[in-house]
Amino acid sequence: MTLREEFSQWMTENFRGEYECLRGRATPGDEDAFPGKRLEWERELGKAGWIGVGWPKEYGGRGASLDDIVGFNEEYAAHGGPGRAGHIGETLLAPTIIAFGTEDQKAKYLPGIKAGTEFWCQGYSEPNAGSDLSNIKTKARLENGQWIIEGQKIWTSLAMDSDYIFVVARAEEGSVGRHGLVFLLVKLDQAGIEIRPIKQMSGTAEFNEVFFDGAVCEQEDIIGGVGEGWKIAMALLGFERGASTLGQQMTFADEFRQIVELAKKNGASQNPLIRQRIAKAYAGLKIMRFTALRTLEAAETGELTKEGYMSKIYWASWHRDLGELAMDVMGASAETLEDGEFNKLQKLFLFSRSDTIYGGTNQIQRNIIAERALGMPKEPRGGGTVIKG
Amino acid sequence: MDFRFTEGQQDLIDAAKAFFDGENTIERMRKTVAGEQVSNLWPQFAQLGLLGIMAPESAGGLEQPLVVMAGIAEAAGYAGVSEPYVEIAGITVPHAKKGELSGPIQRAMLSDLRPYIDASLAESGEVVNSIDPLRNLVKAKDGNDENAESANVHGAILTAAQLIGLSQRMVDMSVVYAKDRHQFGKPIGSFQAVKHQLANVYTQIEFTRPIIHLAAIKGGAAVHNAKVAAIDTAMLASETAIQVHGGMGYTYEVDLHLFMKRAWALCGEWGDRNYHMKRLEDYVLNGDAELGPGQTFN
Repeated sequence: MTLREEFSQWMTENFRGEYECLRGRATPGDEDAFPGKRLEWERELGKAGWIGVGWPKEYGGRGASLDDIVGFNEEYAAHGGPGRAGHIGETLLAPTIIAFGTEDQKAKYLPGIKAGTEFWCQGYSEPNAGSDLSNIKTKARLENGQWIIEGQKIWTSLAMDSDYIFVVARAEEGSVGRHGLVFLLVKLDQAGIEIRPIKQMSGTAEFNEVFFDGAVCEQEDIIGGVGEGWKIAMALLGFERGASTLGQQMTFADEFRQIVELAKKNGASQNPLIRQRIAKAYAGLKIMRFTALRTLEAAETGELTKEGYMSKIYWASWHRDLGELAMDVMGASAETLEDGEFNKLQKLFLFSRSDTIYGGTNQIQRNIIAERALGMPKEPRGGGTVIKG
Repeated sequence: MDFRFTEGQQDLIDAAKAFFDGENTIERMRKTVAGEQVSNLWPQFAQLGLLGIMAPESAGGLEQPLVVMAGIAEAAGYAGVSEPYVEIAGITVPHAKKGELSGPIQRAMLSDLRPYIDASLAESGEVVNSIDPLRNLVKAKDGNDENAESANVHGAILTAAQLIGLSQRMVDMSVVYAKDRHQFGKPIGSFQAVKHQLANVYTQIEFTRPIIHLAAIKGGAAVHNAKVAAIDTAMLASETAIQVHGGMGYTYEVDLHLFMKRAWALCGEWGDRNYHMKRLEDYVLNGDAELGPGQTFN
């Protein structure tokens, strides 16, 4: 039995009953749904060994190939599995610890991620470090064997459900930009940390502000050395190679199917302009799928592909357009709230307004594509500070 | 599904690209436009095995799949090869009858989707002037060859491949120009208003190539998807390239127009945008397509 088949069978047998309420839920835009149940579901996955399938065997993973990881993600989505509360720990932090962490860190942090009992969130963005991400002001200073952290992070997804946060902070007094940073592993449940949810226009609150006022972690709770924080932070982002993108596309496919069903039902599918937009959306979905598959194949052979720079802007723009298509297919009723709340397609429209912003705006993505993939001259940077690197 | 070319296939594509780029220089294109004598590439096409890419091994060919021909067609598009090489090697040869393959084939497949053909591939026909000064066309005879349906698929895919090759050429020319051209004391390529547009085109090219390759491997609705995506990419590429070049892009002297015109000419060949879009719409909305997350395991 392939890993895909094994997992599909496991999902059929286990994703039911008390977990039925999670079907198709907790996707981006809906991440605050059933928090308690979701964390329980993560423990089910962990118990059965379905967290960290791609990790090396020596760290408790299955050492699965990229093909198998793709199969795993697709089956998960096809069975309607809910958005994964543990994905930041599992797919971003764990590979970073495996690559750059100490043996002690591996022993201390990997088991909780693998068991689905400890959750992580990402402390990168700050109020004044958004597109200009290296303009980090949160400070960390070493005192009596502990790091003392002062400052603020923002747009921290799932902080409310997390146990730990990894924080990029400025450790060298007077340093600017990418220099002098440190990558800290910090427990959230402590006196020096306050988490405040940010209510979004969709009415939900997946993002948070995290305030650090004398928060602490131990001296050894850093990955890499002092001054290597930027390097580690960027390496972490590099571990997202797109296997989960294919799972995300299954969610998109499901949204698309709902839009087509509605268009057929309410007659919008007779409108030639709507027909063309539906066909375009379908084309884009297929294009993303086969581009992602090709990128993954290349990743397996260790080739570097430029698609990596481009997938974010492509899917974000596609999904934004899908949200607009959903509203147009609903027609006049798009304005009204049946049952007094947003329906699924209205939620899709609202949340997809953020797709082209979070994780690097479309504009920042275009800078990266133009400068790194096309080799165009760097943008003149303001502020009088020239940061090399 | 595995899209990767084997090492041998990639070598073949690279060799073809080196040959096209090396031989079909801008200088040669300019001479062709001016009606001057230029080198005859056909003996070399034959010698390098490029004509028999898709011919069966029993006929001395390399028997490569359509996806490899798509890789070569992209290279031909990039170089702006004006000989109907892609037509012969990728459309006529694979549909030729056994006996025909023993000699040089100099004819085009007949299809209602391609009303004009290269004059060198027709015995006779009313001369038609193309917006592309490098193409000598005649009106094709009405009707379809018996293999026209398959030829239409090859035609759409290989035209799409040429279009993204042309798009990449236009991007490359624009990047060079944008680095060199200074305004406000800086290279214009440093400005977001310029670089973001080129980033958009480049993204479209990179995302269109896999669907073209998928269409070559699996056929079906992906063929319509590929042609529409390639047309949209080529139109965006030409619109962007001329904008980046500014007034110079509108001149005859700057080479950009040679590639823009080829792209515009190819957009309508082997099914224009409306033709393929309509088929894609019908596929998605008239019940053929399986939609939703359970349906993409291919």
